[in-house]
Amino acid sequence: MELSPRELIVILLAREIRDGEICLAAGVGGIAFFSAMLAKRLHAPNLNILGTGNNPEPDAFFQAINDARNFQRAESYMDFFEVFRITERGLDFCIYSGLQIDKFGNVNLHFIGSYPESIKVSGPGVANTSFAVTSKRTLLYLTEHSKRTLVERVDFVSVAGFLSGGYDRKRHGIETLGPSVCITPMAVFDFDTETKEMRIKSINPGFTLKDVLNNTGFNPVTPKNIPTTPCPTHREIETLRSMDKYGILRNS
Amino acid sequence: MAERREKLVSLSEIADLFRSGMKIAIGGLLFHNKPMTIIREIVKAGVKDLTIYSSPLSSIDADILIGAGAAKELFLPHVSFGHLGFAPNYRRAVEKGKVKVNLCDEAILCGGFLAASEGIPYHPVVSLKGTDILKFCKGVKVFRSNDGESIACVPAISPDVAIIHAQEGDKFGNLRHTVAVYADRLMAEASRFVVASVDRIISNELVRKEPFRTTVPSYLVDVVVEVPYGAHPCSSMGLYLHDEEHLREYLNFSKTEDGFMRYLEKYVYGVQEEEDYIKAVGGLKRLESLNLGKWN
Repeated sequence: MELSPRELIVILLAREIRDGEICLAAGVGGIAFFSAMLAKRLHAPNLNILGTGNNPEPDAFFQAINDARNFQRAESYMDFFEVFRITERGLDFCIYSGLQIDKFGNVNLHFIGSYPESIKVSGPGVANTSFAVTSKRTLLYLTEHSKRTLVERVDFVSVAGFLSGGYDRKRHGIETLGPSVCITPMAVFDFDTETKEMRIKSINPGFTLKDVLNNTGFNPVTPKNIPTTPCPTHREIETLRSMDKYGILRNS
Repeated sequence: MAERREKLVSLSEIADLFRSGMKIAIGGLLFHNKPMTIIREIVKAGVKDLTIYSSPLSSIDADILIGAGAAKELFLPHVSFGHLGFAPNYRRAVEKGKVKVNLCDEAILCGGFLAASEGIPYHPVVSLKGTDILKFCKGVKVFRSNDGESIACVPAISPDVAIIHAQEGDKFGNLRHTVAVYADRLMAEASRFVVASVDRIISNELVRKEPFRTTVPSYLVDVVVEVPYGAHPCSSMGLYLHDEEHLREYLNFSKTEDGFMRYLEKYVYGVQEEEDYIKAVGGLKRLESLNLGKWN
């Protein structure tokens, strides 16, 4: 079955999500929301998906962030007094993407260029960067795998990854684990346990090591034997497509 | 016996509440529950040099004010049109250095509003470590205790006026949000003055029958204006959807500064009454097609 890059990313992200966890993903953006909802239907029935509406059960998914229809059958609503408190307290995981992600898993959602003197491209900014500091771990993804998006060093640290690598998170007083994976259409990366550099964990079906290296803006840690990412199963694909009635992930 | 004061005003009285140089906070989120009619009144009145705070996500609300030259300084964590693309006027203004951008995050804004609502000068925030936002954000202070522990604290944010949109409210200012309250109550508690638009006025009797449904109580609200479709082209959550076709049209117009001026001419400066606006955006029938009906 032919999968779109976004469908593949959702399926691979869902595999990283564990039963019983608490995350903020309801209504935030297509990919994070779909990934959490897919995990909940496949293997994580006790996953708590928080957002404007908590644990929603929509009949269909709509593309706009916070479209009211995505909160159908929610069990409760959350206002920003509560959002602030859980931001400070932390969750189990949060999902981020960006204009750039660097080899230490730092995410730039703000500016290409140098701030504040010369900004070439101004990104949207990020509503909540803090979950990356207080949540136990973060899951990263990029819908485009290129030298433009996977860079040696981000121009601006919007979301803290491993900062300058090694124990730099600890030096900044951050006690949580940081990014555990970075998923792209070509590969799944994790991070070297010592240096915290991005490491190729598996290569997605249809791509080679050469593809990955030629399209990455830094030298990732490259183990001797790199497995192929396990193919998406029929169950994963069918469950996802039954949720994505309007083909949001297929057509964009 | 003295009568209880009603807070209901007409739309034509709204512009007078705003002065150039004010600090304003806009409720809602992205393109949902945004007090758009009030924002168009601010643009029409030619108010300038505003400092704008918002709930963590903004879109056309801030973008229109920036494009119209009403903004001087921004505290907006995220400005975009979500899946429809970047915010054109925001992006132009930032790249040309036309407006002062303060990098911030949900925690800085909410922490700041919370401090103001509690009447304290700072609120501690533990979640900002390591990012460049903490490095560049104005006013964040690191406090150290005698035994060497340190914590970042964000300054209180107390806007001169908060503008928010709720689906319904009574003439005394009790507001009811059908779905999401977002940061509206938080901003209302933090601000000196609160102006609310509602799609419909309901009776005080109904409010008293269901007090648990009141999301922003009357003591926090100063002025209420009834504007059906007052959030258009944004959604009024639970009542009608955002108008994606109009938002796309806005983005098309706004590809250039001249184009954006034509948008303002057509939908802001060129319309005097609310009925004219509804006509300009395709008529009531078209707006009714955005209604959710029974949605949950």
